[in-house]
Amino acid sequence: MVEEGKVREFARAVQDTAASETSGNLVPPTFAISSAQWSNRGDQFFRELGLDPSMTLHGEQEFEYLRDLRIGEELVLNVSVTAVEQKAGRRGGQMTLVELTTEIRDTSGRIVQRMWQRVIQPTQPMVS
Amino acid sequence: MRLSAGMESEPWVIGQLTLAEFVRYAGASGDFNPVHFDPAVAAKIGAPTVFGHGMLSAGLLASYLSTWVGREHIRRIRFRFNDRLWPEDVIIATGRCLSVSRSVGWLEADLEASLTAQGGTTKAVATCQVSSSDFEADIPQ
Repeated sequence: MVEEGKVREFARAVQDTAASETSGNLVPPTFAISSAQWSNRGDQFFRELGLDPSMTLHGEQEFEYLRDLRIGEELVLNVSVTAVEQKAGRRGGQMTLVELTTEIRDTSGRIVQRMWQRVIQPTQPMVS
Repeated sequence: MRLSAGMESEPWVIGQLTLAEFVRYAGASGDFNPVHFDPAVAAKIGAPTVFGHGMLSAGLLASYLSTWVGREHIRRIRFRFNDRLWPEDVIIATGRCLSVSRSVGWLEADLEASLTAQGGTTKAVATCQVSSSDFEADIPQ
């Protein structure tokens, strides 16, 4: 559920003054990442993938907006691992690149947003 | 709203960051990874001190883009994280329009926004696709 108090708190944290005042209860563009944290217990999901959340670097994040998302809506999130790749790090060592894709749908099943999160984790100590 | 390739948006001086901003974002987002507020945990992973969430950088850039073109016109944003946000960083957001094109009754544009620290270090870059029937544009024929 996209709760008003949570949206206001998030908007304040990212200094989004436009969100609450002029856009008719539209939520800030990156708000969905916070519902991902809440409802999927992000850290636990990372551990299940064999990743250590404190060692993981967030390399890239992408959002696609298929329709407006407003306060009060109920959403269903579906997270899947869409890519895993091993690469040699720039300073030696190996790293793992993981892409998570989240589909956010309303209760009628219509897609609202897609998110791609690309994270990097060294699998061997980096030589610095 | 008027957009044309090469135009720059008014910069937004966000100012000096403190630990309070990181803690506020942790609470608002639910991301309580201690590397963002506990110096001892940050030291364990080799960081000189705590640092901001990548998604705090993204959120600030998204707020800047929303203020510039209107939240409802944003179709897609991709964020790349170049450097960590450190406490005491003085940061600024800037933006420019990369290209504008016309489709039936609509204008589409690609925008770029950057979060930069005083001294010139780029923290994060957002590329953003927007579209609206309300936009006006100067497009060379």
